[in-house]
Amino acid sequence: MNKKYLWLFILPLFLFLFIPNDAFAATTEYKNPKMDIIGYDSSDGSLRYIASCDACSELQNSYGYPEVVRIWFNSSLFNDNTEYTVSFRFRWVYNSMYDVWPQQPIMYDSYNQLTGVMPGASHVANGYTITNWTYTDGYQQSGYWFRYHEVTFKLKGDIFINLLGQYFLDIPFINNVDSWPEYYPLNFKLELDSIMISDSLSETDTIINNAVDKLIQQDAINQHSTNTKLDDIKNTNLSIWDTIKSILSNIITFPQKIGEKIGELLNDLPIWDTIINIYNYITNIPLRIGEVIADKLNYLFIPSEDFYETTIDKYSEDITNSLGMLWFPFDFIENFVSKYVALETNPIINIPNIKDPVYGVTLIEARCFNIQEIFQYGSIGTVYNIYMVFAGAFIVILFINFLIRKFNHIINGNESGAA
Amino acid sequence: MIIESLVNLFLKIITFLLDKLPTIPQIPVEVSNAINGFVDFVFDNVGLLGVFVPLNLMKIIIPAWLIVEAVVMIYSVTMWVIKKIPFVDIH
Repeated sequence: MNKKYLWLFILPLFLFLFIPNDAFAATTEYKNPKMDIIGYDSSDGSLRYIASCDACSELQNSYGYPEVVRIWFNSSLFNDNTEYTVSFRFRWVYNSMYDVWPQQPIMYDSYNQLTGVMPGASHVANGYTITNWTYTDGYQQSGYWFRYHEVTFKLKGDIFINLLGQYFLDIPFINNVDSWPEYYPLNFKLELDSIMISDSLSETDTIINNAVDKLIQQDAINQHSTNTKLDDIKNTNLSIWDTIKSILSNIITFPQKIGEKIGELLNDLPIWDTIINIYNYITNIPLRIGEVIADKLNYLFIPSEDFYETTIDKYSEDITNSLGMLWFPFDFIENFVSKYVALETNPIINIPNIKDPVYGVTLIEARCFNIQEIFQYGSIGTVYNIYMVFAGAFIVILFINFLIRKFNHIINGNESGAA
Repeated sequence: MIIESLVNLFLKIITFLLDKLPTIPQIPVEVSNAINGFVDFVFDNVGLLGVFVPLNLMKIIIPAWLIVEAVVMIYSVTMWVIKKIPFVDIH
């Protein structure tokens, strides 16, 4: 055999090492997977959780013990992060002719292989710590039920206790055990005696009563739901009959109604308005097309409003840095134009405070003079105003003359600009 | 959209070419300060001219004069170039 194919056999062995160990243990975890808590009972005023085991074959002998799969307390009863003391009993409900008698009441911890329950059994449920277990060694038999044993414990945090695969009710039987039928159902009740907040016994009854009220309310809701469904069925039957009747009557009057509807349609139809609207729509089609084309052309050829501003900001720094001193004339022109636009046309002279440099005494107060106003409103104001009118007229005449010369220059083809 | 694309393309070409050219040094600060100082001095005191000539009118006339001169100059340059073309018989 070629050695290069040896890895085909070695590789599965390595892969086998990575398979978790508990992958093989899962199927043997449960002693009796048929046992589960199926609900709760509040018929006599106490809250009970019922565990059921149908045809528990393991109970055919004295070593059978139904597994207590899960003890679940209704979350609506408890507050988070509060410590409660919970007492409950396992009670076996027996309703047969067989006379059974518990031999020894124990709780079996399959995890620690110990009987009884251990305080601080953190493995009971992940994340939940049972702080204390109190085991009451006693049981009673009365009629066809017996109190098996009682456990009191405290729990913190959540209120879900999962005894999955850890604890079992060990019920040894002494009478007629061998003849116990496989198919016979056994019902075990986990009877909840009390739930109380630690060191506060007064709330026990309240919590129990609240729980019972909730159950009664749930029953009422279920009953109401059932009644509603019955009413719905009744109403549905009636409505079906009414529907059939209405269908028949509609079939009979159908031709007449069709005729009436057509007549109403012809009478109410605004035929001329409709035709005019269609005509207007058709004649407006070129206009609409033109608008669409104009919009598209506008989008194609006209830049957005802030395009030039943003573009100049974007490129100006790069261009300015690259051009260096060649950019200075443009800077100078920009500076010159901005100053020219902001030129103050009033001849105002600002004189600052003039102080004695030795003693700091103000010699001349700060003031400003508008020389033009002095001339306008002074003694020579009239003459000055006449002068300004003639000066303006002279400038305008000079400008007109300048324009004429340039016009003649262009018309006569004189490139020197001389008229 | 088309105009924007063309302008962007033009500016990108310009910046690309400028990047390839050697960097031109900036004008010395002393020179620019002297020029700008002179301009500031002129514009700070040009208001005194308003005593003798109507400055509001001059603010309109001077740009108009510059525009006309610029137009005539462009016209003259254009005609000078056209007259250099032999088969265009313009004198």
